[in-house]
Amino acid sequence: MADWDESELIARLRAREPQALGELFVRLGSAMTTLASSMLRNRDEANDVVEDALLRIHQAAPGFRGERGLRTWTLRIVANLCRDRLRRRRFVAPNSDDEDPFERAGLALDPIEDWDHALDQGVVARALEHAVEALPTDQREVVVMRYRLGMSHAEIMDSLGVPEGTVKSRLARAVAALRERMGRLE
Amino acid sequence: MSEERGREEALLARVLGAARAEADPEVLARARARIAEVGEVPSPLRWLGTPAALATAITLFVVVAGLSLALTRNDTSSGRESTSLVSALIGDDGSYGLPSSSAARASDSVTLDSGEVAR
Repeated sequence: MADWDESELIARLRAREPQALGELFVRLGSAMTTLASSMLRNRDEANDVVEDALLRIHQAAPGFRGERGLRTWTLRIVANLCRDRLRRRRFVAPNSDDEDPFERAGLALDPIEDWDHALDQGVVARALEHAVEALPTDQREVVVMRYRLGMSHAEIMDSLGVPEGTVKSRLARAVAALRERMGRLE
Repeated sequence: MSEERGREEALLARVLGAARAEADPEVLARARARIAEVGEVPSPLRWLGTPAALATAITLFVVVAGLSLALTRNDTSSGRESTSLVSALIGDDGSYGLPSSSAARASDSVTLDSGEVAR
């Protein structure tokens, strides 16, 4: 998966080498920010979560044995922090369908290769993003990890600390909800 | 059915996977500054923020509470002893070892009733 020496970076993080955290941020900062932005739908809050996650990584690194993989471990920390923030939110203003969901979350939309030009990619992507926003937290989490970050079921299982069956059932429910909201997912 | 599911999955991965957030270097700078701040805190103060400090504080509290309870009990029992010592010295009835006036009255009345001199 990684074209860089993960075990070497883990060893440097464990030794609390000053440059190691920066290297982790270069490798995984985008995935961390994408996960936090997709979950919290607010770029400033997402940045705060990533900052807190870096601190936790620095503090916990000496005890990290690397069994789960650095990416899984890092995203697990980010996911836990996002869940804490969402739990603490007392009032959540309903998202308006008129707003751009990508802009609100601080996400950038890249062009999709081999896209059918009969369909407006931006319109489809925005409609799908609104549908993802409307999902309950536990389902949104697995959808973002699986389809946005391209994580395997096993990686999601390790990141969330739930059995694989739970990951699959959450994904199935989420896809059904997206299908219902979008009409057909094709 | 599974073919349709596969197409759905592929579409979700393509559309959702096209959105991403770039990492902000400011975030790393802020995290490093906070790490440096933590590093500047003197180690005894840093230790106060650890779970070991909490455990030590609870242990100390239990020990001190136990000691004070034991001391209070000792005080109470020695208090009783001193009370009984004082009572023994001054007499339980507070007569300071002197004959009580009622006893004197009683002896007087005996003399009077019998008409004899008691001695």
